[in-house]
Amino acid sequence: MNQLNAPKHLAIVLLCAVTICGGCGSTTQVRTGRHDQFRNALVETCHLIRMSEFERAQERLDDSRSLAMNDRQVEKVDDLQRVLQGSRAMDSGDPSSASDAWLAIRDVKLKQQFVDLSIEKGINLKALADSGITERGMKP
Amino acid sequence: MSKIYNLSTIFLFMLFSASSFANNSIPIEARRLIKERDMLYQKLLRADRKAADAVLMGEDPLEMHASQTGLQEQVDILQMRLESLAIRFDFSLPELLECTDAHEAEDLLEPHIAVGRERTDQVIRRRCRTECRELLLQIQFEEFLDF
Repeated sequence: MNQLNAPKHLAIVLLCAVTICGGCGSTTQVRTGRHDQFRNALVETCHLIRMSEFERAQERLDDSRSLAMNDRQVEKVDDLQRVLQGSRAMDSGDPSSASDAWLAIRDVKLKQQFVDLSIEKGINLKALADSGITERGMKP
Repeated sequence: MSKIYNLSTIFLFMLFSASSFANNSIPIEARRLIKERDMLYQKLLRADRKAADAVLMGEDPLEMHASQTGLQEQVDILQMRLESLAIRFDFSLPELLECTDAHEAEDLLEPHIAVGRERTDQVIRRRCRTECRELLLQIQFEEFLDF
């Protein structure tokens, strides 16, 4: 009787193993797809920021935020949000607010690019941010 | 008593005659010309102010300059005629009034300051926009996106 049930049990165990493996595979695929979507959205956001298309860049950045899956990705989104905020401020003639936003970028190399390129154009972001603080009455 | 009364009447009559003579010393034609000259001069002052505003706003004041020149010529011609009348009839010509509108200095300056401020803001906005767009084009996101 036991001998007759053995192949049956084996078949059930195999079926379970196949099901579990298939599930894991599909989860991995979903994760990979989402990561790619996130990355694509971020790349597109950067491109739109470079083209000064701030409205569309904000839309794509919002998409990126909804696709972010870990702290590192959220940090990237936050940094691009600061870039975008500063760019909008500078574009509308408010260099002091632009300095505040650009100097708050966490990615050191990206922030350094903004500082260096601004100096090349005769804009001192640090001095502007300081003057903004003085105007708001936080410094004597 | 009646003597004093008569004397005062005569004195008053003389005073009245003297004042009417003084008023009548400028011929009617000259008075008309003075009025016309003053009116044109005020018009010219207003045109000058308008042209100054136009220059501050960055507009082309060429047309205004033409009307200013025309007005100035008319004022000059009238002034010459009046001066020759003044010599001939021996009366003193009233001076041109610089400004009949009673404006405080601040009231006059404020619009010009506001225009200047607006123009400066515009220049800053334009400059910021250009510099920002150039700067963003030079930003390299490759390393930032390499994760």
